[in-house]
Amino acid sequence: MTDKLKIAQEGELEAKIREIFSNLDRLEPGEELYSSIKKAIILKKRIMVSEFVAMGSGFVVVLSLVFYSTKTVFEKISQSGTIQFFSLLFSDFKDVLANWKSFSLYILESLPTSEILLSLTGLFILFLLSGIIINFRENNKFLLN
Amino acid sequence: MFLSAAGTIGLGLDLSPGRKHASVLEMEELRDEQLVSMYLEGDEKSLDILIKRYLKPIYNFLARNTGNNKEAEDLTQDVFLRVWNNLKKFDTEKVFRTWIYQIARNASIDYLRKKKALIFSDLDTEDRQFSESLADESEPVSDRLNREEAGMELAENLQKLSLDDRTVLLLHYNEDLTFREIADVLNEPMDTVKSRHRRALLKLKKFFKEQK
Repeated sequence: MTDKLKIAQEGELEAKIREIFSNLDRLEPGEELYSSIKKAIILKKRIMVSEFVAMGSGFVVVLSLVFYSTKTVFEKISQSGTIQFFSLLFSDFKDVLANWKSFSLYILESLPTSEILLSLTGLFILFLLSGIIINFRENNKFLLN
Repeated sequence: MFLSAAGTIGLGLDLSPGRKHASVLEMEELRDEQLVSMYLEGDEKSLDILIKRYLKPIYNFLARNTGNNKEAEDLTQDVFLRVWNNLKKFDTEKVFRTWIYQIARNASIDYLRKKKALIFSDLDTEDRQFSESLADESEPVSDRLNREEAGMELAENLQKLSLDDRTVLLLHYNEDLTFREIADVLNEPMDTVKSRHRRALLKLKKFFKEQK
């Protein structure tokens, strides 16, 4: 079969199929579909805004906790005498060096470990939340404006 | 600023910052990509126009592609939700029409996979075993059918094709997309789309003959 004949037959087939396609009825969606789509988008928008508000509230709560625990850390350090003990490093350095193991142990025991851990954890969570909130805001400016 | 320049030069519309809200009629004449930009700047009406513009074509495409009119409504909703969710990522330099049909095609695939109505070979790009013969031994395809019967038979035969073959035919003949646009939708080279189109036509012809 020559190429020209092949092309001609292909063209004829395409024309026939196109004619049959013209007989294919355009299907109509239900009347409520448009409003369903709009409602679904509005709902999704509300959920996303709520998530943003929840993240913001969470940020404020964690910030308050970090502030409180950091304040407690400084108060406990000043009450425990750790600062005075640290000052021995400058006044009696040789004695501290000779008894560095006991000195280190005492410093560690005097520190408010749980409050320090709480502060550091809170700071870490704050850091993560900040990243999430900034990323969310960047990606959804059109939602939040 | 760019939008106002483009709008003013292209369509004679005044979209300068001072005139924030074009009328709905004027907005309906805007290109899809302009409507997307306007929506991302906070114009809610732009999204309404986009949805109305594509609601019926997308529904029609999904209903024909999946063979299920009822599920097609849920799928259409899903498609527009995905479109809305990803509008911020849409590159306005690209063509919105091919992008939305890409999402619709992916939604069909997900639906058919869930229904386990899709097997791997449905997405194959090559059908090496299909012998392509244009030798027409019998009468022309549509002469013996009236309009309604031809439409019903076509709908039936379309379901016998693979998903991608069906997608090519529906997008080309029903939705008037060019082969280049269909290539973007399917993420395939244009030559592959043309070959797929040709093979799909031959398969359809075969199905019509078998029904004789």
